Amino acid sequence: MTARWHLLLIVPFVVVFALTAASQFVFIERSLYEQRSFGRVGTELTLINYANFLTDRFYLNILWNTVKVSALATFFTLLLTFPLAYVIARMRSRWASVLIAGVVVSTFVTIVIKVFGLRIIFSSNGAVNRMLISLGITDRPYTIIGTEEGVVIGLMHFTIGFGVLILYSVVQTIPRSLEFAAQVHGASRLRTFWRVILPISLPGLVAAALMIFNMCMGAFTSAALLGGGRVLTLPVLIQRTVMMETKFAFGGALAAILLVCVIAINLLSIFILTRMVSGRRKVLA
Amino acid sequence: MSSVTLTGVSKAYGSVTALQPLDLEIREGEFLSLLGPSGCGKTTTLRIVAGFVEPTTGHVAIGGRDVTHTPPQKRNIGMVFQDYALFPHMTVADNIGFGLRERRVSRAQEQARVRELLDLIHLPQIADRFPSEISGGQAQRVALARAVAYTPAVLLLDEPLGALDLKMREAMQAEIRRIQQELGITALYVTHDQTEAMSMSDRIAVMKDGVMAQIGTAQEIYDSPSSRFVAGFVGQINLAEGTFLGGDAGQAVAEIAGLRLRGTAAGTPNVGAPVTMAIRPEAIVLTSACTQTGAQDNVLDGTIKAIGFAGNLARVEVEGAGISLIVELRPAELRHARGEAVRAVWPAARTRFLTE
Ligand SMILES: Nc1ncnc2c1ncn2[C@@H]1O[C@H](COP(=O)(O)OP(=O)(O)O)[C@@H](O)[C@H]1O
Ligand SMILES: [Mg+2]
Repeated sequence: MTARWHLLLIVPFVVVFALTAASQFVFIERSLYEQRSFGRVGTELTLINYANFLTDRFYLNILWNTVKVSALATFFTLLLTFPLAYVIARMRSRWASVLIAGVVVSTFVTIVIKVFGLRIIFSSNGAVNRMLISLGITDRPYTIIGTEEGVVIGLMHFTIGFGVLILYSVVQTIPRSLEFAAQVHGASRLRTFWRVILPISLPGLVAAALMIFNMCMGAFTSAALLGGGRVLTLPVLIQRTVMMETKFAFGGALAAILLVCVIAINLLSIFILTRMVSGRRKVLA
Repeated sequence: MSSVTLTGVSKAYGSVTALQPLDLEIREGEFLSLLGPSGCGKTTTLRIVAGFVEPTTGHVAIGGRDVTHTPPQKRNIGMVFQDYALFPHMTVADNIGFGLRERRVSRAQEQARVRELLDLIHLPQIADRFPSEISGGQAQRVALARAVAYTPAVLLLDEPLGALDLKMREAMQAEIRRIQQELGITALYVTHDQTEAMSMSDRIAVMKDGVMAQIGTAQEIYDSPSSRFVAGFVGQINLAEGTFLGGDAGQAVAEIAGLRLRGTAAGTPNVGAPVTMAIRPEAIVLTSACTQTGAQDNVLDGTIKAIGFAGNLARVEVEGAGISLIVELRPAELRHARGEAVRAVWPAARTRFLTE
């Protein structure tokens, strides 16, 4: 009887497989034929699309930019969200759950709406510019659209909620009594953070960093809307290549390169960190 | 090694009063236990001494210095937590050396002191292990070593043995006491276990609902409880209601169930006030009916309703004059059977009349 039940599960499996693995496969397979103009592709298997990418400074620059803005956004997201997550996790009042609920809601509002909010705030007669001008800091309106800082801010806008949620659960696993013990035995708040909270959170922080970095590397909307066509990242480039230039084969190669880069960077960071950690201590408690 | 003085210290959390204003002095080198049921304010008191909780009113002084507004890290305190609170990312040696490093002790001195402490707790072999690799009993010893590493002014312990099994608990009681005396450290110990408090402490402060009910040596609290609550919380006791009759030849006299009984009164009850007589089960002896007794003795004639055995003790229930008393004696001393008429006799010196 149970065996027959299990047969039913084949249907969702096939659907999920078709939607994920198969679509990737089609793309990667297509990337192995030469991209010709007007959306046509060659008939022989070749790595020419990859070679074109890897020998063109323009494309390599975009890859480097993507990694750079993602790393910066990850760094600042962690820097901003860790204290916030810490404070919420340590709150004893009911406001903690209200704040977490607020973070969850704002995190899952579509990024399109959030980015338009950012654009309004930073527009030439928006709040930020009015303040900067009235304070005399600048006399010309400053725009973040089309700048790297803009893209970084846009990416952070996308990831900050996730950052708070992940780090909140990390901090919650650290018993308060450890902080009490550190303090009572002579550590100031700063020393307690440095010697106890930070090292214990490190595995969680690394996991959060990788997740946020991966989200940034694949982020399209905030990068496209704030890059304004001047700052290009790989996801934006892929969208243009496929949708505007109908170069499916080359787009596929770009996607594969993005995927490989992300996997490589993740593996490398995990490798380096395990080496660092195991050098310092025998077990991860 | 300092005295700790709480003056008029109270604590309210919003509308909840955790602690009524209390005065308490822990003398230099003394082992004082806060004893009371869960929720009576023991932890709050301890945290006020540690500096994690700011008192709503009153002052805290350690070694004569007012520390009411001093942060915990500047109070020179050692503390042992119920969940050990060892740092999971540090070895046992680094855990013990934590406070030394915060005090900028040199590496060589730190290592020497850590070795000394590992010997003190009889665990020299676990220096390089992590907390996840040692047992609960070992963890508690390490926590103790960490707390006394730099000879703190006062050692605070909040139910440190609560998570251990009975056998381990008894071994650790002796261990904690030994180390405290060896180092001569002032200690404030929180527990809800009266046998633990009795066996370890120089003095015990019994707490109830945020109030210090009584403070004294184990003997004083056991023999001369000041209230029904203290009498009942510390060991077994017989209680019987009656009326206070006044003083007579330096003794207090009360009428309990028609009997005229002598004893000592807690406080100064008014003549005619309702009082409760309290007498420990082991203070009563059983004799044959109509045996002659001294003038300093209280007497109840009754019959044996039940006899029970608990290890090396026989528990006899005697009923007469409308009250019943539990009598504890060694089984070898038991010369009566169930249903027999007996005379229960107990000395006035051990009889207490309580008003609260
Ligand atoms: N942070 C707090 N906020 C509100 N009430 C508290 C807090 N800490 C303790 N209390 C209350 O104060 C009283 C005493 O608590 P506590 O000192 O922990 O008791 P004990 O350690 O004797 O079990 C309890 O009624 C408890 O609910
Ligand atoms: Mg408590």
